Amino acid sequence: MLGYYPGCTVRAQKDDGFERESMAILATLGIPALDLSEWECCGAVYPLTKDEYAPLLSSVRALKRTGEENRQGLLTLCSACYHVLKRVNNRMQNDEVAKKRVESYMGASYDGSTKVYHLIEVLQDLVGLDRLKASVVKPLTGEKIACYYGCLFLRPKEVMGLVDAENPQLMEKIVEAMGATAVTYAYRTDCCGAFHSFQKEQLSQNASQRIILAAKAAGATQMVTACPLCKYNLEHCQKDLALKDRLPVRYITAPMVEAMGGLTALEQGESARQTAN
Amino acid sequence: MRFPQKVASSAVQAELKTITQKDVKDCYQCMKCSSGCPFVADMDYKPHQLMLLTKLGLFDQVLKSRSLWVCASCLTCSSRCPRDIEPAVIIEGFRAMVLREKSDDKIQAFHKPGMPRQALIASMRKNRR
Repeated sequence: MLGYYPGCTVRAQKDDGFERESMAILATLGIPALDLSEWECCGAVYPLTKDEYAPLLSSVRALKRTGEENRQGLLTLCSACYHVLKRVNNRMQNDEVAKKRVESYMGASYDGSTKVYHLIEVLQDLVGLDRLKASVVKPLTGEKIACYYGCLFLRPKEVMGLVDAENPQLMEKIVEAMGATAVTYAYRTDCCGAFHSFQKEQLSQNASQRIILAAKAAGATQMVTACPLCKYNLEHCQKDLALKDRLPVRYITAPMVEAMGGLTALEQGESARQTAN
Repeated sequence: MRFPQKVASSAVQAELKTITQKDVKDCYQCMKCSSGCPFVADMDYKPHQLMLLTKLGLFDQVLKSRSLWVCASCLTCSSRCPRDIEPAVIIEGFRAMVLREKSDDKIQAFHKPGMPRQALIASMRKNRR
C-alpha cells in the first residue's frame, strides 16, 4: 500500500478528473494508494537558498508520516509536489546540517528512508510497461501524442533522475503502450513559464506558445502532461485561438483511461472486485 | 563597464556565499546558461552576464536587474552548467537578498479566477508580493 499525497492544486481542482482517473487506473492495475491521514502543502517551490530550513518542514512531516502509517512509499500526482518532496528527502539524506536543524525544530527524527513516487514512476516500476500494454482494450491507434514533462519533473537531473533530463522517454513509452504514437518535438524540455502566469502573464504566454507551436509543427493531435500548472499555462496560451485551432492539452491519465476502456468501466470493475473480496 | 564602479563589500559578498553555498569565481563564461534559458529574450542582463557581474563584485547592477524577476527557476542553466555553479541558485540568492531587506510594501491581494494554487503560492514565495 502506498501513501498518497494529494497536494493543494490537484485536490483543489478535483473537478478536472486527474485524481479520479489516476486512482481508477492504479486500482485497476492492483496498486492501492490511500490518503495520508494528515498532510499540508509542500510549499510549491523548493527553496534554492541553502540557509533556509523552515520551508523544508511541511515536506518532512509528510515523508515521516508515510513511514509511521506503514506505507511503502509516498505517491503524488503533481510534478511540483514530486519535485519538492523528492528534493527535501534527498536533502535529509545528504545534508547533515539541514537534517539536524529540521529535526531539532520538529522535536523528532527523520532518516530520509521514505521513497517518493510519481504516478508515472509507479506505472514503470511497480506496474511495468508490459502489464500496462496488456490492460489496453481500445488502442489509441492514429493518435499522435506530444508528451510534456515540465521543468520540475526533469531537473536537477542528479536528484530527480527518473528520466534523462535532455531526452526523457518515459511518458513516450507509456503512450506507446496505449497504442498511440509519441511525437518528438522541439522545446519539449523547456519551461512553460511556471508561476509567471500569475503576475507576468506575457512571459509564460510566450514560453508556452513556443512549446505548443513546436508540438503542432511535429504533427501532434494532443499534448499530455502530469503537472497542473503546465497544463494551465499550455492551455491558457491558446485562449485567443479558435477552438478548432487549439491543441488539446490533457493529463497523461486521460488517454490512458480512454485506452483502458473508459472511466466508468474502470471504476465499476474496481467496485466489482471489492465486492468479490 | 569602463568606468570605475562600486564593488560590493566583502561582507555582502560573504552573505551571498552563505545563502548560495556556491562560488561564482569558477565561471568561465561558456554561455551555456544563456543559450538554454527560455526567458533570455526578456532579460536585461543574460544569465552569463549576471555571473560575470557577480564575479566582478558589481552587485548593484545585479540587484537592480530586471532579470532577477524574470527567472522562473526552471533550472535549465543549473543542469547544463559545466562548472556546477548553478546560476539559478545564484539568482535566487540575489532575490533573497532583496526580499530580506525590510520594506514598507504591503502585500497586495489579487485574484485571477481559474489560476492553479501552485502558481499563487510559488509566485508569492518568489516575489513576496
